[in-house]
Amino acid sequence: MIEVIKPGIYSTIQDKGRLGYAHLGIPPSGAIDGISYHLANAVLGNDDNDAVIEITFGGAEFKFHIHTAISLTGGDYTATINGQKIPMNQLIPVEENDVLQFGQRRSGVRTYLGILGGINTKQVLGSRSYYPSITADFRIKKGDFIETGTPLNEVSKISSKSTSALENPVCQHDVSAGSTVELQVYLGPEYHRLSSSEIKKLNLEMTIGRNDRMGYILQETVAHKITPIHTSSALPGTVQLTPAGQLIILMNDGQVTGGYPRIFQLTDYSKDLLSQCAQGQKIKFNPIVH
Amino acid sequence: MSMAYTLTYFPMGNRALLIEWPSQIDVDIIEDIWQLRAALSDDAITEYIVAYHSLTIVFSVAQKDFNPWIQWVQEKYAHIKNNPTALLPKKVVELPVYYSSEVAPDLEDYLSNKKISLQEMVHLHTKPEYTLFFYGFQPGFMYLGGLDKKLVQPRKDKPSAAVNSGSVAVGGAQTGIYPLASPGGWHIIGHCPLILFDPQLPEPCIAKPGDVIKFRAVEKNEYQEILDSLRDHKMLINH
Repeated sequence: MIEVIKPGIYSTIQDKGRLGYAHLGIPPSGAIDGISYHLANAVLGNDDNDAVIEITFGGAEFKFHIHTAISLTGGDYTATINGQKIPMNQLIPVEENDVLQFGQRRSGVRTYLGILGGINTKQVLGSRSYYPSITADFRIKKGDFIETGTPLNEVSKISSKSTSALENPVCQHDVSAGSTVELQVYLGPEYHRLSSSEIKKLNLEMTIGRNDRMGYILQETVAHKITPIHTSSALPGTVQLTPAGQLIILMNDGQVTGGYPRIFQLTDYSKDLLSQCAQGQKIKFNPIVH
Repeated sequence: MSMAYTLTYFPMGNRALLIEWPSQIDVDIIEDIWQLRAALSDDAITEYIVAYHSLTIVFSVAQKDFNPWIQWVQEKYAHIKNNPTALLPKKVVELPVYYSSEVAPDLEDYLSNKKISLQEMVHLHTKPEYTLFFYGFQPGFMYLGGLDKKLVQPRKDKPSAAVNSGSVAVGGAQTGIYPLASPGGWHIIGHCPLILFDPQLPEPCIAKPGDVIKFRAVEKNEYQEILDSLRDHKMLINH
């Protein structure tokens, strides 16, 4: 069991997502930074779909009532165990009554806490990912006791995997406020309806505004005369352009259909990168041209 | 051979393929989409998202080249056109609705804007057999076709912050029910006491795309009885 002493601003349980239910209007959910999620499980030798805790903007505190091992990936919030600083992206053994805390933000937005054997909360429609109206809880709360799963291997036999493909987790990129993050995008289905002057405006640097697991809204607007569409599909990473010219980048909890023209589609990597960017961050769309 | 539409294909990034039919809201088109959807199956595909005139297939991993998939879809489409099968008989799902300002905060404004009586509105709203085109927007939210033109009303300029679950609403040329409490920009004209979406059930939604939805006006006493019986039922389940 893991006891939640402080839940932080917004912490949820996430796995790979609730796949195969979009036709019922159910979004995929799942860890929003897929690379960091994958890494959190990989360093522990966990199953690829094991659930982790996604912590937004640090601030959380957990007490372990189990001898196990954990990993922290994604946003670096100067984590400590019993006050001792611990490294990111590595297997960390923990003892009963150890306390994990997060401190000052060093990079990123979302930290993934992987636990040996994953988390054993109830699956709903094939997934443990929190989502309001599907799972009983939509965020973890102070006083929650989170049951851990059965490890594939004993703690003593686990050694951190050296995974060359995983040496480049998203949060190691510079996403500090001073730099501009380039987002690689494919052209969306309605991109070709834009005029050349409208396209020029989309090439400019923009700023991240309000955001959550459903989507990221950009602060700048792009006035346009694009014809509306009938409701059609929308995916995590789809960039929508509203009639008022607002740009919305849908994320994992975003709606599966929408009525706004789809201008771009982020690569999975860029979606992961964006999920580690906070409000005020400068971004630029970088279209992939064939 | 039933009529084949000209389909267009557009990769949405490298993990999804958007297949589009002519840009119309039309029962013939949605039936064509359902038939193609039913003919497609592959372990590499995680989602089949149907909308008014599109089908989007989402892959579990990135694809380098969509051409083999496009060819695969074209072959399946040609096959269903050459070997037409009848659609399954449509199931009619009747949903009770209590049309009253007690449960519908926008009803009075809606009636005065539309300049119709409650009786006429109820008649026009309960008369059609609505086709359930697809689910989208939020879990269990039905996109229904068939709203009477006299009931069309543009969406609110500013969405309401909180709409109750079960709210029956009109937005533009569409009508539907909010299965879950949420913000919403449609005009609330009634309330359906049934539970429309339950993720604990193997079939979480009350109806399937292709089903016919029929609204049935109920009086307050019947509405209350349904609410009460569902509450008792829920209590039994919780025990």
